[in-house]
Amino acid sequence: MFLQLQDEDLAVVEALRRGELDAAPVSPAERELLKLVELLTLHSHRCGPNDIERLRAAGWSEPQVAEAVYITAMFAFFNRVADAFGLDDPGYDQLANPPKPQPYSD
Amino acid sequence: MPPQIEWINEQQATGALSQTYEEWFSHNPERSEIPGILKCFSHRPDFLRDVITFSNRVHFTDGHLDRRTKERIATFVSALNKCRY
Repeated sequence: MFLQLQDEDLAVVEALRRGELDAAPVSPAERELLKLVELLTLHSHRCGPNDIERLRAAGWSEPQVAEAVYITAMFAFFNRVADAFGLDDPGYDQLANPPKPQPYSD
Repeated sequence: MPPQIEWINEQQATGALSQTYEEWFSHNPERSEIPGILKCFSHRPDFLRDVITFSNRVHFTDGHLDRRTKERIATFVSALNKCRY
């Protein structure tokens, strides 16, 4: 439900919700980004320079890769806290009153 | 369903926690309950404020990545972690 608020592309939502990246009709660049997300989530100790180089080659900037890492780790954090407390629906969508998107400025 | 680890809910909250809950309600007037994920941090109101702040700042806004990409990452991570929701 949460992602649908942001993303009409149900096929992508459903595939990602099943954890099936291969089934998600995403761009090649986004597939590379989500491959890193999967690696960091399941086998982060295996993350090496080549994994990052693939993202550069796919067009992602250093800040974008870094931010993807922050979000990946942030949600691992929330998942573990939610599971420890036994939450069924962590209600990430209720976490905040999502402010209007504003471009990040250095 | 009561949490597996006890937390401090809206009625029990006092002091800094009560204040933080009130601030959250002031930003979310349509809500009648503090989200469970936030109550998980009720034992450390100072940390709860940090959690609200950083998730607002990093996740709930466009940054170097747009919100849609961040939401996709969030959904994928939670699925891979088999987080129950």
